[in-house]
Amino acid sequence: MTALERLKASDSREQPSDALIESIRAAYPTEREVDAVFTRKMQRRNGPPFQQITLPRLIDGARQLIEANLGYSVTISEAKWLSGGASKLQAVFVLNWRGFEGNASLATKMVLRTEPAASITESSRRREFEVLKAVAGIVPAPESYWIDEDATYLPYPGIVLGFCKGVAKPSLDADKVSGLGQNYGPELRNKLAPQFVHYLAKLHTIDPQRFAMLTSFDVPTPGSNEAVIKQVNYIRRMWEEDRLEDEPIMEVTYKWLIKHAPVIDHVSLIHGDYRNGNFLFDEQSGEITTWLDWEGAVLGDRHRDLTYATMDTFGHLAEDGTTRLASGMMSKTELFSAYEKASGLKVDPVRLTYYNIYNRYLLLGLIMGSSARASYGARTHQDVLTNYLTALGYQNLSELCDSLKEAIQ
Amino acid sequence: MIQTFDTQLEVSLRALQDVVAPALSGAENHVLEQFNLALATLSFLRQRLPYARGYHRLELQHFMDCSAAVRNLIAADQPELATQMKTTESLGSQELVRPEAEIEDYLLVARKLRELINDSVKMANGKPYEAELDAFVCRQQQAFLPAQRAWCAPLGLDTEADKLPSIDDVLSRSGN
Repeated sequence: MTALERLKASDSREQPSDALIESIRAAYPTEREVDAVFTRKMQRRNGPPFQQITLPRLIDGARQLIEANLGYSVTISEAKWLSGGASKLQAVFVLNWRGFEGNASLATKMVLRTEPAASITESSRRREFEVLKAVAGIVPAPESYWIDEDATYLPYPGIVLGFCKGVAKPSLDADKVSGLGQNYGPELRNKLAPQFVHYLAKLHTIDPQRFAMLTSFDVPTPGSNEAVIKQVNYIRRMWEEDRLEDEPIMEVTYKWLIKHAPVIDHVSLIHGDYRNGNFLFDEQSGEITTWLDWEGAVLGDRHRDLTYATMDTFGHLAEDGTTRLASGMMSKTELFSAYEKASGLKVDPVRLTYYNIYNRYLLLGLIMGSSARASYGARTHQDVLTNYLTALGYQNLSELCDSLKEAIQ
Repeated sequence: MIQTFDTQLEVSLRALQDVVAPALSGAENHVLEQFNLALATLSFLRQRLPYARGYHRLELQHFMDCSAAVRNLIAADQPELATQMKTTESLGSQELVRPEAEIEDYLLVARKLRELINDSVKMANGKPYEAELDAFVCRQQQAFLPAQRAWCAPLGLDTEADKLPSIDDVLSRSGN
């Protein structure tokens, strides 16, 4: 056996036993749907290796899914791969159909969004489907049409969404991977920044009656921290299942997050990945046309989105060379102040500290855990990207250490 | 041996950059993105390959030192774990003097030590020495982060890469 083979053989997570899967489930309880998705992910690791999915195979599956839902034949044309995003396989196509009633003649541009065998963000298509329904008319987001929750028609679970117009990156700064540190420039920024805050406030103050549409989400109890602990366990479980090597700082952080989990005063719908690069806009008018990537949505504490959107990783310096623009929009102070005004909800410095550490822990779980595991196991359509993104890990770990030290003091 | 790794990587990179890249103009965005990331990855490999042995020896030494210090803090309360740590540190010492040891041998022991240090932090939950241990582990790990960040710097994602030491400095200071 070579040294490399010995190293690989020492990794119990690559082909996990039932006992390992169950021990992690028992140690770190999470929301019901998260548990189901993560368990499926682990079981899938013992299955056949990932094979590149061809566009015709994907489109044929989409056609079957749509026909099963509509009850009549449709045709699909102009199919092609869609770039962008680090986690899901996406294709755009034109659906030639007769509408839901079967009496129209329509050609509708749509997007098929499906999972690879593993991804940087292992998530539920069911939850993504539900949250898009729940935010319809409140925050611009893709229309969700059909779901193949159990991969009956597609190679892996997927959803069919409406196609949304707009660009994710301005033409002047279009080479950023996944929109990290995206600079929109002063002119666009002035138009985008107020909308960035406006939609965050709208999302966080959504009518709680809409939560009834979120049947696969656990609804937190105000005044309790039980849901927060489950969300910390979501990251911990990801880390336990995916990491290639341990990192003691992650253990210190986990203990701190559990011990200091704050109660939720107001239950908000949390996007979970609210930042620059995750919305489309019209470059001419500067209007935000769509918010993307809802797969990390949860019901929880607004400070989670607030701290995520203001992480240094997603910001850049303004033209003055000193002001750090959160998500390329405005300074943190300005953003929090504008948010309080728009939402009527207070921004609590103690919970900002907590969720700042929470989000750094989350990013590290995704980058150094899931992303590394997905590329190591050759399980995605873009392993080269998921592997590349692991290089973000150590700087984030350094920032986590700084935040943790401040919090402990 | 004519076929050095550096030559193999150099010729591949030149072919991709000088011949393949120009032919890809007009290709779909996701094709161009993956092509450029593959180039960046190969280029990283070429830059770091000459340092790989030294770096992995340095990393192993770091975890051996960290483990020894942690062991002193926990030995009275967690004797079994402390014994495992000591045994693994010894294994690390043996690998560092074994001429034929490969970088995966260093990684294997370093990963075991990472787990054991992690276990010590986990098992310290609620114990009187917990705060001291947690703070110590954070300090130790943070002290090693500049080396880890310097290693990854050629991939171009560290926004403070200009403030990091060069990999030559990292390794020469440690004697690796």
